Amino acid sequence: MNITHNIRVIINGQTREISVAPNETLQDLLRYRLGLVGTKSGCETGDCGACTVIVDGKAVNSCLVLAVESNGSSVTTIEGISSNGELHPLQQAFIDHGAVQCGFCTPGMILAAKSLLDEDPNANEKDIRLALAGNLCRCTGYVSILKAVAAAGKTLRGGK
Amino acid sequence: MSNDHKVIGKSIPRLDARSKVLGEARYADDLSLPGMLYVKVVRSPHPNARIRSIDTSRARNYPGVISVLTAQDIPGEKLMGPIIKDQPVLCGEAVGYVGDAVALVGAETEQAAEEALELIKVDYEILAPVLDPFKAMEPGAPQVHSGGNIGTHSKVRRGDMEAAFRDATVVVEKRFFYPRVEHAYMEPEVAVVAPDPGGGFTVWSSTQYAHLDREEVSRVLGLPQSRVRVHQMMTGGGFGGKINPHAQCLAALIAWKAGRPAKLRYSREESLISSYKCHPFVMDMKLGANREGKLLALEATLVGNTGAYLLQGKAVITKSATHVSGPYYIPNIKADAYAVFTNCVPCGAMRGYGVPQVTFALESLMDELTGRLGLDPIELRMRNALDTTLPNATGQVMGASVPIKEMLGKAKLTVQSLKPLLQQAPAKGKLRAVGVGCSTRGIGSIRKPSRSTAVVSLHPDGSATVACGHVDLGQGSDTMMAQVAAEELGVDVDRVNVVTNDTAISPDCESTSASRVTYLSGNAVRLAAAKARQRVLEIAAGDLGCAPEELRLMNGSVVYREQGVTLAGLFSKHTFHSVTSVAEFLPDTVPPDPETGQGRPAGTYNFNVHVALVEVDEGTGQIRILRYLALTDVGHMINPLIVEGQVHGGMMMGLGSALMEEVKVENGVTNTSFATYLIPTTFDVPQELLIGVVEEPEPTGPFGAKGFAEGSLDPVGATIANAVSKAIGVRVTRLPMTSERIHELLSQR
Amino acid sequence: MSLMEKLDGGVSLLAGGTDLLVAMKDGRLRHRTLVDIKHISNLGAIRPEDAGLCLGAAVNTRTIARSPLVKERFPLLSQALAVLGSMQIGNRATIGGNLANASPAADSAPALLALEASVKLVGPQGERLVPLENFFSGPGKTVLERELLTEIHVPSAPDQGRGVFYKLGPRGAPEDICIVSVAVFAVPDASKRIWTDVRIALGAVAPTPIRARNAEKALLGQLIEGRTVEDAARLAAEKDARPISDIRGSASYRRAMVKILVARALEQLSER
Ligand SMILES: Cc1cc2nc3c(=O)[nH]c(=O)nc-3n(C[C@H](O)[C@H](O)[C@H](O)COP(=O)(O)OP(=O)(O)OC[C@H]3O[C@@H](n4cnc5c(N)ncnc54)[C@H](O)[C@@H]3O)c2cc1C
Ligand code: FES
Ligand code: FES
Repeated sequence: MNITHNIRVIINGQTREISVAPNETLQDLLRYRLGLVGTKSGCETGDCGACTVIVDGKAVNSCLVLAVESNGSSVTTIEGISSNGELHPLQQAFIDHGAVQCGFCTPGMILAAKSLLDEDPNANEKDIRLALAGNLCRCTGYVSILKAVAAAGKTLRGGK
Repeated sequence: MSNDHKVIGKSIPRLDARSKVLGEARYADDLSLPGMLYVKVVRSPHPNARIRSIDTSRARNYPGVISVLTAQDIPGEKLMGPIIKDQPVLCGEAVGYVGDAVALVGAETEQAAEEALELIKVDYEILAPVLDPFKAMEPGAPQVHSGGNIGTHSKVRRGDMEAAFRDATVVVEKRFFYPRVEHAYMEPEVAVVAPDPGGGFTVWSSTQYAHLDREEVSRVLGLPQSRVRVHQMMTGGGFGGKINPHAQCLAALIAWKAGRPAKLRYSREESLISSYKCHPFVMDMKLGANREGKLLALEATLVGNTGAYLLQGKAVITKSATHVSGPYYIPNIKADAYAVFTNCVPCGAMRGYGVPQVTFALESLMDELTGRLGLDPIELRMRNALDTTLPNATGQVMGASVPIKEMLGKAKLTVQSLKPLLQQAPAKGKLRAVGVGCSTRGIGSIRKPSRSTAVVSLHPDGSATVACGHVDLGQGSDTMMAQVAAEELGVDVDRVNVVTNDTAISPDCESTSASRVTYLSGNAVRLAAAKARQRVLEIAAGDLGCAPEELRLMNGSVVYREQGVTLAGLFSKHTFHSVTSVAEFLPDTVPPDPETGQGRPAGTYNFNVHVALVEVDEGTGQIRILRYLALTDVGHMINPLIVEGQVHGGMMMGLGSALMEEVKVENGVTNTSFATYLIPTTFDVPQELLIGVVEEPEPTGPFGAKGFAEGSLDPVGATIANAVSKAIGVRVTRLPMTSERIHELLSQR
Repeated sequence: MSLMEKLDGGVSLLAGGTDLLVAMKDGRLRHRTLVDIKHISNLGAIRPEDAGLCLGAAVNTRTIARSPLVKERFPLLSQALAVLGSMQIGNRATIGGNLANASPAADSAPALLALEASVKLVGPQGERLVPLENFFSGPGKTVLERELLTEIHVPSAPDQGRGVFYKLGPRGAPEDICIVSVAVFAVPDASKRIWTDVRIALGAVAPTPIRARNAEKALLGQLIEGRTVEDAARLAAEKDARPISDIRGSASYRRAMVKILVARALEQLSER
């Protein structure tokens, strides 16, 4: 099984041509070959959400996506959502609301929340709970995370 | 008191938050070194077996494999452990549980290492395991270790328990079960170890106690501790579970053998199967009171299944025994707590450390008493609550900062405010009730006095470096220490750099555990910073011809009557580069006596009172928490944002063990992923979770603060169980309260 | 189609991969050649079909759950798929994969059974349309024989019909694999006094997702009232369900829950 595939994928806005092994996951590609280690690995079975990235606008568990499947896609990781040191409103809200403790779930949480708010800027507390149910956090008890996402939603809507 | 403070008491976001939201924070698995090998571990599939032989020849010759190692190759000590060193680094003669480490492979790629594992043939002589602690205590049971299956027996003896029970008008008695719980830190265990050119080793790890990593790696490699340097990487949670540097030692062995850097990262399954858990307890408890509801006597037998190795089991058992009477004054107590060896996965430290277990039993019996006495639950607790003059189970009188009665008063108001919700007719088939639970815990390790050391260097530009050994696992202690130092030195928090994660810089302060960091290291940092400040002020006072008391340190200057002298100038004149001070803090404690449990085991105590309004689905047995109030006592808040985060996290972790979490063992652990070991999600957060912080300063704490981080977990199981028991009319005696268990209880009505 | 010949012989179809990758990682499946079916053109659409629906097998479950067309025509299906896995899983998990994987607890199955859906299977020998009820043959087993499941057809349902889905999970989170699930689709007569059509489907209580035929029979043509509901719920639990015990729940709890949830669903549907 030494075949490799050449894929072309846009990662955080940058087009890259990469050759990948057939059994390589997107998570492994990002973390161990491209050095985008902000994408975390907590279970590799789709249960924790720490590896969440956004592929073509949708949050997915990168541990359950093969790298070859991302051919032709656009992938956003935690490294790609701030611009020139300016934090995304979600990132700022996570800091301000104490939604970060050990930080291991944080990148996945922020990306899951971002995909939700991109999809539905008016997401309410119930929608937020549902969207983040696949992201486990053992430190914060989720309370401040839920608050932070609601606050960021408000900021993104222009304070409403 | 808070009014005078510039940074103490302020909700400063944790200092590493920015790097974490950007994904820039570096955890151990994010590290990759040139020439690094990948380590995989052969683990026992049997709970009890002798090893006849291990054949590693095929694995050695597998392409990509560089080193294969078994117990006989270990150059130094072959046993390890956080307190009791009784776990084999690699099993040579026998295995004690499913998941015990037997052999190691180091290879060029993770895949090669993984594939080579299967080529190692271990010839086991399979023996009958003993998994149940009561069976293990029977004569003729298989012996897990040669010294018998009782690993520890901890006692509390106060007054005349038997006579007191004769005097009691009401006696309640039951057997309670608390589950084996997994820490479920989101980051599994990881260690990277590299040989240094000078003959030593450097370790980068996910750890709760970097200096223990140093100690164990040096013991296992047969090196002086000074040759091993440990960098704690950003650590993705610990909760008591990362105080056993097994992965570090295994990676170090390959790095030593191969002379190359080596990384070992556990898969989630490996972590769930092999890492130590929270002790499951079976508790027989009996409580007696007089007609007025004054507690007279308590008898308890606590049996903890410690699994194959003792590790911290002895300390956990002692903690539970000494906390058996909770926040109440009970004059006559007899408690016996045992850690029993079995061939189950080992148990060790976990947030709570034996206290949530006894709290569940005691608080359940308290509610049983209220029924028998016709007393309100809060009233009964009020009548028995400790104060500054009454002794706890260890005979310790706390003297100050015992706000339990004030907290009960607040809880009472909450319970009253919940009345309308309670009386409001719930939907058909739904049962509602309110429950209360209280707890207390000694801060710091109680088995021996434990010292914290801090080094504070004040630099000429007014900034400061703090070195202290208590690592931050995410709870925010580095930020807290920076606040303490900043307050003393009159600078902004971001001018203080706290280094806790490097054993070459930070002094050993024991592990980040037992809610001890704020109290112990907070004090050490404060003392060291004050000493540095004092030294500078004295020098400046000499120059200015005034008393040091007339001077203040502010933003890098010494201020005298509105005039400033810069530290840069002062230091240069007096040939200082920086001014460095060291201070230690050792709480005034006396460990519990082995025969009676009497002593003064903790420098300070933390109290918690929780209230829950639950709704039980009569048909399915499902439980919903509609309202939750967690009242906590912190002495004085150094950082409200961090306090809040700890209380939320502790409460939700407690909710997990109350409602859903249980590590099941059938030979080995059967819930081997997060699809079968379930922890709370956003869906489990109560609709309304309120926190109340009571501040009654602890005179011996830094700025009046004391530890509290575990306390918010302690009474959760008890509180929810009391509410559910009331709702369904049957006493819950076993956690977790899965819908199936509650359904079973409902059908017993 | 030549690839289809090799199915099983080391070749697997890859849809969302949420079952397949987990199986490959834990060693149940190894070194397989995967054929990604997500880009086969007509597998990716949701189309109206008369008053019913045609779902491409490779459409992900979250897209279906959120589709206005599905919400309007078959809220029961939308409701069930909304709790199939977390958001991330739902964004990948395909409806075809959920059915082909044939877990007794598959969350799409009870709703689709209650809606009397059929699946189109295409293979080297041609294509066939199989009622979903005949599609599953055991835990992880289906009647697929080197075939591709291409479409799911949901026939039009009577206008007065309404459905309910209950998923009882160990924790109540969407990604829980259920202990028991129940979907009921019921049609009353014009006077709303008599059940003219009732379909009850159960998940995680038999080797495959099943229809509760005994319970349905007891309701058909009967008065909509507490007694018939109770009888039907009892039959579903005692005659239709054949549960086993596993890490999520015991057989007896499952049986008890079938009774409770079927009764609840019917009561909810009886409300006028
Ligand atoms: C964390 C997690 C949570 C989950 N939660 C739930 C849940 O709550 N409810 C639930 O029901 N499921 C759940 N699942 C299971 C899984 O997500 C679903 O079964 C999903 O629908 C499978 O679809 P897929 O496209 O990912 O299938 P794949 O994994 O791609 O395929 C599954 C199997 O079906 C075959 N297959 C796929 N498509 C076709 C086709 N068109 N024709 C023929 N064969 C095909 C594949 O070859 C493979 O054998 C969960 C899984 C994970 C990892
Ligand atoms: S690592 Fe992908 S979901 Fe846990
Ligand atoms: S902050 Fe630690 S897991 Fe969420």
